[in-house]
Amino acid sequence: MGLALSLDKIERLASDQASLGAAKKLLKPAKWPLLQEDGAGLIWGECQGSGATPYRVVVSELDTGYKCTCPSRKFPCKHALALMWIRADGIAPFSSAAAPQWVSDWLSRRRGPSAVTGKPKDDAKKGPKPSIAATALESAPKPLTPEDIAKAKAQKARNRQKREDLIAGGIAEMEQWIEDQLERGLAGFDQRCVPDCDTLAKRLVDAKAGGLANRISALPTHLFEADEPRRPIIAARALSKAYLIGQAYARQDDLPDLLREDVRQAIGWNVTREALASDPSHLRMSGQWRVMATRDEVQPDRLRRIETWLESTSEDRRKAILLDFIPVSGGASGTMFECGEVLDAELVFYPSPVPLRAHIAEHRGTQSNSAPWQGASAILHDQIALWQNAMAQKPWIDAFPISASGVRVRASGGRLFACARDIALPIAPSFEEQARPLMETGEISVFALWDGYELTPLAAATPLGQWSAS
Amino acid sequence: MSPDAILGAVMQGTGRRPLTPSGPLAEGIETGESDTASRLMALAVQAQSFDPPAAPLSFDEVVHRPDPRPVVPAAVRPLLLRLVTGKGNSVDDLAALAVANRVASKGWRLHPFDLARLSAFVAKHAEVLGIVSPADDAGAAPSDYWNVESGVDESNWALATPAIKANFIAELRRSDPAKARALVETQLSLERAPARVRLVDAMASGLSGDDRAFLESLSKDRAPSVKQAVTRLLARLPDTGASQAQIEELVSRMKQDRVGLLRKRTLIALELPANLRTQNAQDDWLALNFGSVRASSLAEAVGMSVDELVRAGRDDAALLAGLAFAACAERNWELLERIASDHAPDVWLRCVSVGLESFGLVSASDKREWITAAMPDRLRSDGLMSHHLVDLYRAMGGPIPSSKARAILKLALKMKHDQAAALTAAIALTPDIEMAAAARTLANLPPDETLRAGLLADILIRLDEGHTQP
Repeated sequence: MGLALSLDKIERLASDQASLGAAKKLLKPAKWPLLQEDGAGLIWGECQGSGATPYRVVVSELDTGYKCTCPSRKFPCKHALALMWIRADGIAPFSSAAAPQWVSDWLSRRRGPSAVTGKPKDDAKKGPKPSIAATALESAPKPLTPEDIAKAKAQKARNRQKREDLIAGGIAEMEQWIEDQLERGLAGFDQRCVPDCDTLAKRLVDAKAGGLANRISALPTHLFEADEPRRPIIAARALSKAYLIGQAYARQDDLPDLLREDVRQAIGWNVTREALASDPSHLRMSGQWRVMATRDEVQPDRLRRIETWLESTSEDRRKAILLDFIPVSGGASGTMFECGEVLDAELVFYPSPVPLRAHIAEHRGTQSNSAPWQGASAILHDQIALWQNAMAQKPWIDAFPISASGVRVRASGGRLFACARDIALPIAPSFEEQARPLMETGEISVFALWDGYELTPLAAATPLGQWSAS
Repeated sequence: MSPDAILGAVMQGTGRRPLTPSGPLAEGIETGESDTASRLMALAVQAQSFDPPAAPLSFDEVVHRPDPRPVVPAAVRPLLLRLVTGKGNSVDDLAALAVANRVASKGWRLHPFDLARLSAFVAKHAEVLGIVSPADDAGAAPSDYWNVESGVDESNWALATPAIKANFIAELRRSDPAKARALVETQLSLERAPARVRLVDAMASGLSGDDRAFLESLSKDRAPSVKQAVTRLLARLPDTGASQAQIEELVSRMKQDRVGLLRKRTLIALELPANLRTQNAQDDWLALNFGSVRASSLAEAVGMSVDELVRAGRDDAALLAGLAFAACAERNWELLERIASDHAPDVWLRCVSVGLESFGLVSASDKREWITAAMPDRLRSDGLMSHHLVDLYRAMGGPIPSSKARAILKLALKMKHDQAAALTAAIALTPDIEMAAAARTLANLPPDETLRAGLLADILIRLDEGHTQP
């Protein structure tokens, strides 16, 4: 299994056609006095621009991460695109070399998946990377005394308690706000939701409950995406979840460990990727993971949320989601992975009774030209039972991935339904137009997200070939 | 209280409809607690989500309209999406039109899964592609092109697209004018005006006195464009008073002069009406007047052979153009070639500007013969603009013979202004056999000028070599 950089992927990464055009001009090997690789997914080079000093460009083939020293405000810039292009098309040879200092520096700063490279393993042997604080302390002339360490721990505990108090206050405010909304009635909630949700979201941000704040601030957008008659019930579902999260957080000491961890993440306590990767108690699964779908949306906090849905190629067809957040202001677009790719990787899952969100702990390679998805073996009925089980374990679960065979898409009363035996799941209205061709393909295998009310089809194996939601 | 009752109350507002906890959902919930409504709502939402959505009582019956045409090759699909979707990519420029024409002429159909993403392209070229637009899908039979198989014959020609219909009639007129006339006679009243004009123009092939009665019956058509086309054909009928009067009118505008010291030779100049100030107006007048007479009759009227008339008019561009138009209308390719190669190499531009249909050149074979005669293999670049090439493609509706296409590409490569459009037109005009060489030529040019043309070439190459999908 190789590390895949394809022209399709490069094209999707490019912010516009002009970037690709500019990159094409840099494909001449003469423009690149240096082109090197470390043999484990890292390539770098120097591109001669108009100035005296060439631009330094580094690209990780594993996840198409990149860095260039040019001042361009396009991401990726033409130099990064050109380097990828040269690699994908084999336009010029890359000599093998150890990563120079500037490449190592970039590698140590970024948070991408670790590859099976000699360098990171060597680093790992040396122990965890010191934090900035630790580095500062190291550079201080005075060595740390046990009292200093105890003081630092006490300060950390005080900060933590302070945040807990703030969050508790925020949750109480949110519950009161929800109760007020119910008293006024949700039938007219869409008329007042924009200012009301905005005010509450700001208070939740002040209360350090970022996860809840995001849920509340995204609510108006979700409401206005739906038809007017459906908005009150959508509001009721969203507010119910927020209320449940708040209640669960308030009683977290009584919850099982995994559920407690989950609800803390839902509130806004982040689990860093480093912490996740270094804790051996978290669920890890190694194997081949097929990229089933990628989606991205801009959140109200101006972060682009990129979802990559994976399905294991093994018997259990386990599902996982990789979440990445990129500032919109950075201008970067596109996703790191392409539908249909198969990743040879070890995933570590964030703690949850329904572990779905994962992080790539070790990425051994990507197969881009794999055979198309052959479809699911499970039936829709069993997949819905799985969802019910997940819902029972984590009542605020949002979208649950299912893959089922023997599904037919049928229409009734202007709506589309995914049907199998006596089950007919309504397809999300925003996906109906795309799913309409599936009505003519007969029985299909579908990979979709189910939220208890609507099915969002993301991919399907059909007699007419692979179908993907755009 | 049932979940529905609880949700009904929160929709209207608990201020108006207070919630009194009762029933299994309200176990452990007391009236008057601060969050009674929120708790009941969360439980009701949760209970409701566990119930599978009610299946519709009946589903719509989908009428499958089998389309026997094969789906475009898989390699074409992403390229086509890139060509006509996304920022800055037009659906109605020449590249898009060329792809639509080539997909149709090769008997492909678009992949059903791509129709939603290509909706703008499909809407623009539905007629060419043979696709029923969603608006027409309600059962508008006249625009239902689905059932047309690749071989058009007398039994199914009426279901074909207007262009295919016209081409079919024009070809049939060559072998059996009476049968073609009978088919048009039955179909004409069912067609819209633009299609009626095409069918009338298609009757220019094999025009004879037998068509007089039918054409005269059409001279009262409601559409002025149809009336104009009928008038053109009536004037062209042999031995008509109209034709004779036309010849007398033209002869009266020809001024003869004899020049030369040793050997006197005759020169003829055509006096155009004084109100024709622009070249377009002059060309329209020439096409209308010369297009309805035979060059031989005209020469006879001035007491010369056709060759002598051409030689006498060699210094008068208008007369040469008029004679070329007469040659086009009577399909005198020998005369047209002589005029183009010896005296007026740009006469093809004037024909295109008037419109080939003005001369009844509708079928692909007529157009092929026309360009073979009208366009010299060595073209002059002075005064030629990219829009001339675009107009040529629109007139031809497909590729031109290899030698002409090579000349056009050579010309496009020399163009300084709007070279990208010229190259796109040149690629659109290139036949399959020349396409690989043309694509190689483009690859050596700066990418800014060749992005769209190169993509078009890629698509056309793959359409030519394509394999059908399952």
